[in-house]
Amino acid sequence: MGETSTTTAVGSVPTERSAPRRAAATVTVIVPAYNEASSIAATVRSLRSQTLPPARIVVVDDCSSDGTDEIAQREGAVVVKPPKNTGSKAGAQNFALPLVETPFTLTIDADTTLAPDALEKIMAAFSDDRVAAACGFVLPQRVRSAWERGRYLEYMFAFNFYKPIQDYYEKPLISSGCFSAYRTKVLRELGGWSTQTMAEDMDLTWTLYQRGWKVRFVPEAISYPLEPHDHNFVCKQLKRWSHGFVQNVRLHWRDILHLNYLRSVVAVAFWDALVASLAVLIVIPLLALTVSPLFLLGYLIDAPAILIPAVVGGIKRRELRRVLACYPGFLLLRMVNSWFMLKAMWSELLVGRSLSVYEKGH
Amino acid sequence: MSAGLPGIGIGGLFFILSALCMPFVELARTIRGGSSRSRWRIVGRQSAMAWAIVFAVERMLWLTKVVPSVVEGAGQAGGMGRAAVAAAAQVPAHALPVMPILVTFACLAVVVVGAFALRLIDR
Repeated sequence: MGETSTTTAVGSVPTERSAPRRAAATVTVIVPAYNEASSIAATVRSLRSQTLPPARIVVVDDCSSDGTDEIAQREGAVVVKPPKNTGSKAGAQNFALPLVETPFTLTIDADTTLAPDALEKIMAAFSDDRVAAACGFVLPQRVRSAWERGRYLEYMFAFNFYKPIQDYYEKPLISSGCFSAYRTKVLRELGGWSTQTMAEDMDLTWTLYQRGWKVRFVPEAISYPLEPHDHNFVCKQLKRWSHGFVQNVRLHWRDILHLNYLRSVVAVAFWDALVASLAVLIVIPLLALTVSPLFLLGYLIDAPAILIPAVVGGIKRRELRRVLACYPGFLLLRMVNSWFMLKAMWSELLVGRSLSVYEKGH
Repeated sequence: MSAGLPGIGIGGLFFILSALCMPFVELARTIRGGSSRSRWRIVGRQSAMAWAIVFAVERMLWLTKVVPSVVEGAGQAGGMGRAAVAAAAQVPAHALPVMPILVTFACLAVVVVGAFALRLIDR
């Protein structure tokens, strides 16, 4: 927080267009934004039309050059601007944290919209005093390119199968940064979002567990981020995520060992990031080339494991055809993901070249 | 984000086992008086999905046994015909590749128990 407390908000503070309902005065929304002119209006509008409207929407314009600030202001958000680019999402969020006067803080990406009742649903998690953070269901806003299709299926699988199980055992792996709510007091006690890793949301989630707090997953609270639509953006995002995961394991592994269930989830994820990536990129192609092409079936062997939870979610959302059509995109995304996981392991753990520059993936 | 790779590897198996354990955990919770109908709904949904995955993967693994037999049969008969079908029919309905399954279970056990052991050392 040291870096943020020395900076000053230079943006104007417009009056909210309409007075929020009484119940809403408990949540302030922080929207970190850097060159988000094309999406910020939809984000602010979706926040303003919530069944439980937030007390304030604070857009942190991280020195954009595309007029993000003007658009956000026009839509009725409070816009603040650090004197210079903070260099990361965590930095931008920390800049706004001192301005929060409500007991709860919600963070949402500037390219994310919410279902009309998402805020109301996610806040229900805080009826338990031991809950410090809550996250919701994430689904891509746009599903057109192969990358977006792959991500759609990945989310349909993970948020219908993995995440509810993690929540049942009271250890969601991560309270996703694109849409999460927190107790402001706890955030302040922790010094805001740490800038030590590329995945500030994972860092914060694991830190909360270490301090004895609970984190909840609320599947009824749905958010729709814009996912990377092309190879360039996908690579930036996967690079950040994979490095962020490895950095967090390196940073927290000792403390995680003492957290039941999370210990196993992280150990298994770490193993898969290494071994399954090697299998996908090296072992299966090698066996297919040297022994039999039938080994290529290895890529499809877990199709039922992926598709069943996704189909269940697809039926519920009446998007069954979309789920099935997205499977090839998922296979593609998984190949690329494997590559970035291995690269991150190599850089972070073997070569000692840690990623420190935050590149926006979308 | 999904850390690791969804589906492939021991992660899938870990979460399937986690889901299959949920009814027992919830039963214990019910006995202690800490359960609810909504909790059981989640338990039912996740464990049903896990059973469906187990069944579907079992069929998929069976297919990986059948496909090579069919290809081999077709090769011998000079095309896809009766010989190929006969070769497929020879594969037992529950012929699973036992070794890969055992290896996967063993890997999962090593990783989970290894992490637990590390915890005991790092007191």
